[in-house]
Amino acid sequence: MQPDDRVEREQGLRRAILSGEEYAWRTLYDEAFTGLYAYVLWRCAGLRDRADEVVQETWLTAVRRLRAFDPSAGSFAAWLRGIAANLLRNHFRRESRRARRTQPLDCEPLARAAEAREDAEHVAQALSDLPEHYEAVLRAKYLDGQSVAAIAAERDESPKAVESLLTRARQAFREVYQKSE
Amino acid sequence: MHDIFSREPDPLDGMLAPLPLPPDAEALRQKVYAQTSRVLRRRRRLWQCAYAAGLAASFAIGLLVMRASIRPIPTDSGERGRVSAPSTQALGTLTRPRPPVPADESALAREVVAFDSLDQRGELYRQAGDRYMEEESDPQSALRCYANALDNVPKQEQAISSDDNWLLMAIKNARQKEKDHAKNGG
Repeated sequence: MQPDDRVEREQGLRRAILSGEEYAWRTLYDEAFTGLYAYVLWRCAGLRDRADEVVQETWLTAVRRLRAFDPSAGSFAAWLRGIAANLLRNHFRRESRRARRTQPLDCEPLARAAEAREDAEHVAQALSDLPEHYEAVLRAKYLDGQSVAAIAAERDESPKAVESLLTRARQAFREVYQKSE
Repeated sequence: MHDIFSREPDPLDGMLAPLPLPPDAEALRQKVYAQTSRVLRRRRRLWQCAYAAGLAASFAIGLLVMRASIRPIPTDSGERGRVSAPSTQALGTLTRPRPPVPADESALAREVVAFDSLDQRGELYRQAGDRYMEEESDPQSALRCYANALDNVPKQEQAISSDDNWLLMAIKNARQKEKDHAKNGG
C-alpha cells in the first residue's frame, strides 16, 4: 500500500471510529493486534504475564486517546508501538524502584524458572533503557527479520550506515544488559 | 567484541530472537477486543446523550426567546396607556370611564341603547361605532355612530386621540377642518 493510501485509509477509519462505528475499530484492531502482541512479547523477552498486561493497557489507552492519533505522522501500528514502549518504560521504572527497596533472599537457591525469569527481566529492562533509534533498528533486524538492505531502503540510508548502526545498537544493548545484571 | 560480521554464535542473538505467539493469544485478543469495544460503546452513548441534551437545550432556548419576544407587546392597560398619556392630556380627549355595557351586546343593540340614553349618548354611540368597525366590518354604520357620538360629546372630547381608530380620526379631522374653514371665512 502506498503511504498516501495508508494515510487516507487510516484517516477514514479514525473518523468512523470517532463517530461510533464499531466495524472500523474491529478492522484496525484485527490488523494490528498480532503485530503489537509480538512486539510487546519481544520487548518483555517472553514474559507472558507482563506482555499480556501491557498489551491490554496499550489497547485501552489507544481506544481512549484515538483522537490524538494522526495518520499523517505515522501508521497506526507505529502509534501503538509508541504507547506500548511508554508503558513498558514506566513499568520498568516502577520495577527498578521497587527492586531497590527489597532485598532477595540469599539463603534460598533460585529455582531454574525463577532464574530464567530474572534473565528475561534483564533483557526486557535493557531493551527499555536503549535509545529509541537503537531499539528501532534491533526491532527491524530481530523481530521483523528484515535484511540490512531492506532496513537501509526503509530508512533511506546506505547499507554500510545501517550495519554500523546495528553494531552500535548491539553494543549498547550488551552494555546496558551487563549493567543491569 | 561481537558484531553482525562475526561468524561465531553470539548469545545476544538468542536474547533478541523473537518468540512465537502463545497458543492462547486468540483468547487475549477476544478479551481485549471486548474491553475496548465497551469503551467505544460507552463513548457513543455519552455522545448521543450530549446530542439529545443539546437538542433539548436548543428547544428550551427557542421557547424562552419566543416568550420573551411576545411579552413586550404593549397592552391597553400598560405600555400603550403610558405612551399615550401625555398626548391625551394635551389634546383633552375622552378620559371619562366608559359606562358598563354587556360584553355580548351587538353593535346594533348598543346603538339602540345609545339612542335611548340621555347622559351617556355620545360615549355609547362611540362604542357602537367601534363594534361596527371591529366586529362587523361595517364602516358605513360606524360612520353614522361616530357622527352621532361627536354631536353628543363636549367640545374638548372632539379632538383627535391616539385611542381613536382611523375612521374616527378622519371624521374628527374633517370636522376640525370644516370649523377652521368656517372661522377663516371660507
